Amino acid sequence: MNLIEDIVKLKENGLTLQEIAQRMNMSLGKVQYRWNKYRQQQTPSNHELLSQPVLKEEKWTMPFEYEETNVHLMPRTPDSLYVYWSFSQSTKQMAEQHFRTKWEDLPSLLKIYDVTDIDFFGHNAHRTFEVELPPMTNNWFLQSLEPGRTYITDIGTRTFDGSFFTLLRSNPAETSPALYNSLHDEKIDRWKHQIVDQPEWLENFSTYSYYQKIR
Amino acid sequence: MSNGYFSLVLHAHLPYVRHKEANRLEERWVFEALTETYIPLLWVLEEQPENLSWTLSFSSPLLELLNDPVIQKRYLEHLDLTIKLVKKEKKHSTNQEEQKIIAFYEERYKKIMETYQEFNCKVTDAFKRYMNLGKVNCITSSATHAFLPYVQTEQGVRAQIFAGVQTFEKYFGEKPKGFWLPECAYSPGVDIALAEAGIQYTFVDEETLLRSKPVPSKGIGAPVYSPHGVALFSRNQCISETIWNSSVGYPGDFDYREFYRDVAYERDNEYIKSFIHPEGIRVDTGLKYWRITGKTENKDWYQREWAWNKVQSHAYDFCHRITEYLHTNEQSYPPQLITAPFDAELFGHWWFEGPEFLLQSMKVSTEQNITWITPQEFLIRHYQDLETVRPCFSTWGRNQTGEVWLNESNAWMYRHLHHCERKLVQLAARLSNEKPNIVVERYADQMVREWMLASSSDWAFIIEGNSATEYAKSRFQEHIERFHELNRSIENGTYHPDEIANFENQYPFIRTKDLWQFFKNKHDEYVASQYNEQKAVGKKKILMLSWEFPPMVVGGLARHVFDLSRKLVEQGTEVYVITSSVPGYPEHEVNNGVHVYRVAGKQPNFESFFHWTGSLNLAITEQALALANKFDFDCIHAHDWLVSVSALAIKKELNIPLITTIHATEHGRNNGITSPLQYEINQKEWELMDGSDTLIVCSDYMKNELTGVFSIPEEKITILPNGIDPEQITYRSSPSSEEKKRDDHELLLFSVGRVVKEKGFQTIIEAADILRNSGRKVRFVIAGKGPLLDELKEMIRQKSLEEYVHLAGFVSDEERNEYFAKADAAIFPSHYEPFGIVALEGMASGKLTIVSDTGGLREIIDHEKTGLKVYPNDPESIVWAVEYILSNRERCQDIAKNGEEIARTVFSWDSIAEKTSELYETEQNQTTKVGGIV
Repeated sequence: MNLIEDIVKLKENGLTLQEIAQRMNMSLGKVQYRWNKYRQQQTPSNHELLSQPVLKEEKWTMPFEYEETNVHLMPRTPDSLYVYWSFSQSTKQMAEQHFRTKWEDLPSLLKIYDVTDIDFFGHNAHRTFEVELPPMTNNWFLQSLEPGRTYITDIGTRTFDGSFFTLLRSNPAETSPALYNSLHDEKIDRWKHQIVDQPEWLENFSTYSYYQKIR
Repeated sequence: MSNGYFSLVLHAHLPYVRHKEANRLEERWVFEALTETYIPLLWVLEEQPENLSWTLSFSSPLLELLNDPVIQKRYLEHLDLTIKLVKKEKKHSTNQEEQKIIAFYEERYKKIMETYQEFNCKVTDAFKRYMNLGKVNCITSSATHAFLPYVQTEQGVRAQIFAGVQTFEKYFGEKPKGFWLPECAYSPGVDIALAEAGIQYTFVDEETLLRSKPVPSKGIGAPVYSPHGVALFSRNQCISETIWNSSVGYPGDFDYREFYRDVAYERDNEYIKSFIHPEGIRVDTGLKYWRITGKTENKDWYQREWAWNKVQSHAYDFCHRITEYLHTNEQSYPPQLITAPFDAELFGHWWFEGPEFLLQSMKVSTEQNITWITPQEFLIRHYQDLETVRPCFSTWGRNQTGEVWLNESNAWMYRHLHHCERKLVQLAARLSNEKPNIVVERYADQMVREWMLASSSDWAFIIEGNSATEYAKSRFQEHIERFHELNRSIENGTYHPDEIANFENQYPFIRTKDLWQFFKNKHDEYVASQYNEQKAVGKKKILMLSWEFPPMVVGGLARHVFDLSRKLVEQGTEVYVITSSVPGYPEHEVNNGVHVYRVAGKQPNFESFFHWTGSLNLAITEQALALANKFDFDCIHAHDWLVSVSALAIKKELNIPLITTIHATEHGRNNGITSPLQYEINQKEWELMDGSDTLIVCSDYMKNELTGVFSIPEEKITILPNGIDPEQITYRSSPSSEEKKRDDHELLLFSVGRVVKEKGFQTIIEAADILRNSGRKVRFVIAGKGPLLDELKEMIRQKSLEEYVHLAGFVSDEERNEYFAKADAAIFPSHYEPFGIVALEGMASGKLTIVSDTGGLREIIDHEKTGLKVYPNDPESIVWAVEYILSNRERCQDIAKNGEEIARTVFSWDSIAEKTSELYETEQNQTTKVGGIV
């Protein structure tokens, strides 16, 4: 009786049957026999499983998205980027209230801005285009972009008079430039000669700070 | 001798597949790699020619696995078992060809066991020894081989890089100078953290250089510096391909050992069962007796001599190609460099003869005078000869892009990883300012480990590749789940040493302390330290929402909010105003003790004013909730419909009382609701009134409007008059002496306000017309701007009243005060005026004040006691007032004095702010009492 309990205990601690056999000074075959017998006894029949639903632990599932206002644009190829987003309850509520329309009934759109070398404030992009999104969408692959450009993506809706209304704005991200794109680059020159103290190009990572809006 | 260099770089990595329970299939990845690659590479090092060195990178998960006593013990067992199988095979084999191969394995496994035990199971110690002998240069990679460009935060990148460097240091006793970028994935900014960690060089794909700005003048012939000074050595695709390409490369030669055929699948179950997985799953035993043979299912016996001959001829071919390449691409300074980086496991594991091929290539290279160089040595010689460029995002994966690690099959993963990163930053912000708690810090460290283990690029790679996807998915999910569990224990305060010990033992990966510290942020630490002091004072904190605030002054609202706020601050309340941004004004300032945050919507030039406010409201809420992360507000105080959307959202989110002051309504301004826009505004007003806990209005008149038009219950409304600050209207310099003294029968009347219809300025012009016609010498000055200005000008021109009515346009506060000082009386003939702060200003300046008998104005003035009242929209009534002044000069002075007295006491901000504070208090208590019901 005690023998199998010891085996089970050692097994739970991560030992192999061989290790257990060594530890208990038994032959491997004996340990294997005991262990297999124990396992057979432990496997409940289908009938038993059905009658004991309480024992089933609810499995954690990956959330589809997190209830937070968040949008992130990621580099991918010279002609595509990837963006994913989610909304907090309060942003949804504000949109509903401002438009006096249910969230589900608000059109969902994505607006892409080419902001290459621009200090973008919302209205000064080189080019923009909009994509109508299917309902329940929370991510999108942006295709057919131009290489070597910087983009920003807004997630938003449309006003009754047809204007795009921004709900979320992404970080900027770059499409990789084409091969052999330039033989000279002024930005790197200014950087090398310390004419500027901050690089004039996009560096990928945000110094995320929890209190970033508090001074 | 060729003029140029060759540099071999191997990158050894396995995901962290250590499980507490034995016999996990994935653990065999370690055993196979040890048997086939890492130990054979030690044999290469033992025998390689003198004066030749190459580079070998070890990822942290691999270092942790190789140095894990449990793994070491299990590997010994695994070796034992294999050796037993070889013996059994030897006993049973009847085929002569087969016996030859079995003999080969018998010898080989004996040697593997010897080598493994020679170094006391510590393979890394063996490599370290060869490193000290100068035969190999060991470097490292990121902590869990995360695809760095897809890490969201700088803190995350730093954690991956620094923890990787630390782990290397732990096992090699020195800091690495080189770093393997997982998947050769570079993106601008990665080099900042690398440079900070003391890394001098790393590896990228050749396209990384060819897409750089500018394209390096040597192309891929020489490494370059990244903007932050890390040398980037680029993979030479042409040379590398001869080895890694499965169709044109050497490993596919028919005489080499077949990877996919193993005795495990060739024997009876009964015979093999104790050598495969205990559950009966057939897994490779490592005994593979066949050669590739050809594109056929029928595999011939593996012939060692044949394979060995191929190794030699391939080594010669390889060296020939290197010489050819260096010859064809000769360049002057620095000499042409071929960098050939590979996954280490390619040699031995995937290509069984790979290590022998390497050794042979080294020997042939020595014969042929091909110079092998390590990047480290190259930099010592040529550090001054390299260009600086700015490379872009690129990888060594398909098409040199990110598509292998980011596509429809695996894109979903990044949302979770980034969420963890931000949670860690949040946690670090909290911990860095709290009293140290060893248990909570262990939780935080373990959360970093779980995030790291989930961010291994292997998972995304495996999931996109469609083999072993179940394991990758479940591992990813497991670590994310564990992360959330740990976080929950901290948040709920249920953390416990037993629980955390359990978590730590499950995956004993990088057991160093203080991993969470990588997620600290200087700004957060500053804020945490600043605001904690303030919290200690225990003052009430009010969140004040107003779309206008000085210097942005559209109507009286800005002034009102400013005066109220600073008076509240004076009386010991903390006030945080969130308002719209003004170009040239700071996003944050402390003005008279009031914290002012100026925010802009994402579309600050929205053509529609209504949607402009919508956009502004989103920004206001964002700012408010960010502030609420740090401290608890006691109440929200909102002003007018323009902040309705944010006020209601913030109230819901923070669950605190909302007090709203309604200064005016759209219905009142327009005398009804007629246009669709007015309707929308009217709706916003109603929603705000309905959603507020209590409402403040400035007059009985407004209260009636709210109860009448909006059906707001009377008990929800408090009347608090608007206040004035006499200081603000004092005219400091004395009137200029040149100003000619007016005759007794001459009068100057002053009015000020936004030039809009409801202010009734047109009535003044009509009155002036009558007075002029009756020969009175009365001049009116109307200050202010607005949409009606042109119309008034035209009216004056038509009636030729230029001498009698002067439109002063916009005036500064100083000029306004001067007018008040010079005038005989002030006049405000509004048709609609919820309160009429200007009237109070007239009174406070000591001048007789004439107002329309309407709205709030009616309540401020007691007729013929503190001022004069006229009928709205009635020029004759203004004429009457003028006549009254002319014939009752002394009486009028008394009235003016009384008016001044009332304005300076009853309508002082001191008393109004006090009453407002009391209201905050009452609301707060009520909410607390009702508790959960709200």
